[in-house]
Amino acid sequence: MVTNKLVSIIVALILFLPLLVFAYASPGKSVGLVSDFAGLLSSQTRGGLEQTLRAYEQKTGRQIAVATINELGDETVETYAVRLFQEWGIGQKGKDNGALFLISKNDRRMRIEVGYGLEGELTDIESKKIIDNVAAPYFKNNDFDTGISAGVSAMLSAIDSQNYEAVGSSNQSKQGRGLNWEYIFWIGAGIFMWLTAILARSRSWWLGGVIGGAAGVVIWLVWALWFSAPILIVLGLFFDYIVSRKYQRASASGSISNLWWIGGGPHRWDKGSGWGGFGGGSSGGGGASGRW
Amino acid sequence: MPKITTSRVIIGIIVILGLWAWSGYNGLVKTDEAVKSQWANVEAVYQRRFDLIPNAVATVKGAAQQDLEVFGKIAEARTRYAGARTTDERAAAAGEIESAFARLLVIVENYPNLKSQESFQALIAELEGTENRISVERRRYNGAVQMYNVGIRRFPRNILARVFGFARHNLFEAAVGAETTPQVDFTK
Repeated sequence: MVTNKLVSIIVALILFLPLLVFAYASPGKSVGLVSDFAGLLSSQTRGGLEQTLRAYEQKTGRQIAVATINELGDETVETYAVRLFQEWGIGQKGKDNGALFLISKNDRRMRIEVGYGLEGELTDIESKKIIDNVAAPYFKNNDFDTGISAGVSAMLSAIDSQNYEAVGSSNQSKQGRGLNWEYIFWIGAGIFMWLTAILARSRSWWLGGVIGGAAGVVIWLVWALWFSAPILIVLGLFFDYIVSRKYQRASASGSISNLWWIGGGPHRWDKGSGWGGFGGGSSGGGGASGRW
Repeated sequence: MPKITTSRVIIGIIVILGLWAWSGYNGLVKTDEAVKSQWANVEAVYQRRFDLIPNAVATVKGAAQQDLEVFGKIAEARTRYAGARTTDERAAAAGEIESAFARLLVIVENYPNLKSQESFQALIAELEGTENRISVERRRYNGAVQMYNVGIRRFPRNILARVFGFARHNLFEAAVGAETTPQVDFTK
């Protein structure tokens, strides 16, 4: 009935109204340690900064982020920075060793928001000095590349002037975990390809079931998932069946190569720049703001 | 299927009510504890400001010889904060420290050579940072209190709340006259 549908649409709109009232407009997900939504940085500077900051994260576990936005909207730079910091969760959870350098282009305001765990190293006074003495002069001349780079270097040296705990901790950030999973994934992909080659060439399709059963038993023993054995047996049988069928069809048409089971066009495996997000740290309003 | 006798039904209802009360109570405890832990954060940043006061006074006093009475007010507010025991008392005392500080900052306007001193600029950076932290933690406190207050008022949990004595917490509200805080700009 038309009226019922209309009513439910209206109700849905009303329920969403509170969301519209929130003044904080998130710029979206982070794209790396450097998220240049306002396009203030040249691509070289952005790439260089991203590299430097990732290397720093690998070494110390701290996540120093840079974000540029077009405007703050109804928020002040202080409230915006702390909300963005919370939304992205900069720094490792529990350690809260993150910092955010936020620049708002149209408002001509910036803020260094420091996570709870870095407040001792990157103090409010230090942040204020970096903003007023290092970054602002360059920003006044519209030189954001140098200004932001210099600001970041100053932040890093302020933090490093104290001692930091070395590596080991870096594996906790999502970025670090991303690397581990990549490694596992590549090994898994290799095994997968090897398996498909064997299973396809076998005439029968019970071998897949055997392998599935073996894998299932292993998973059962290691992770106590008793149901993995039957599930994997079934999957193995199914997979072998499909793969054998495709192989037979492909060999009939005469087009076999090593990667015959990949249909369609070329596939690109994205190896490099995986960005898994920040580590879930938080901040409490420490740092400093300024304008130019 | 076992016989559905009246006694069995009653037992069933009691069990269900018991489970509901159990999880409901734990839910109330959870939100109450979240409020308390967030209050601890608020007190921590209040303490930070409290500790800044002697430094602030020392930095300004040297220059502001004519306005010594404001330092008396600050000292009073500080003592009252140290003596406050309950949450509400602390919040009120913190409000007094705020007004005393505001007055101090107005006074400083009369001493231009003070503004250029590095020790003073460092002090202002610290004060701004502390005030910002206070505002962040208070906002979070209000969020926790709101969640708790809604939780104890919702039906049917409000019955549980009354039975177990969960009372409303107070939100932070802007102090009267806060809209008229003096606008002081030290960057000029």
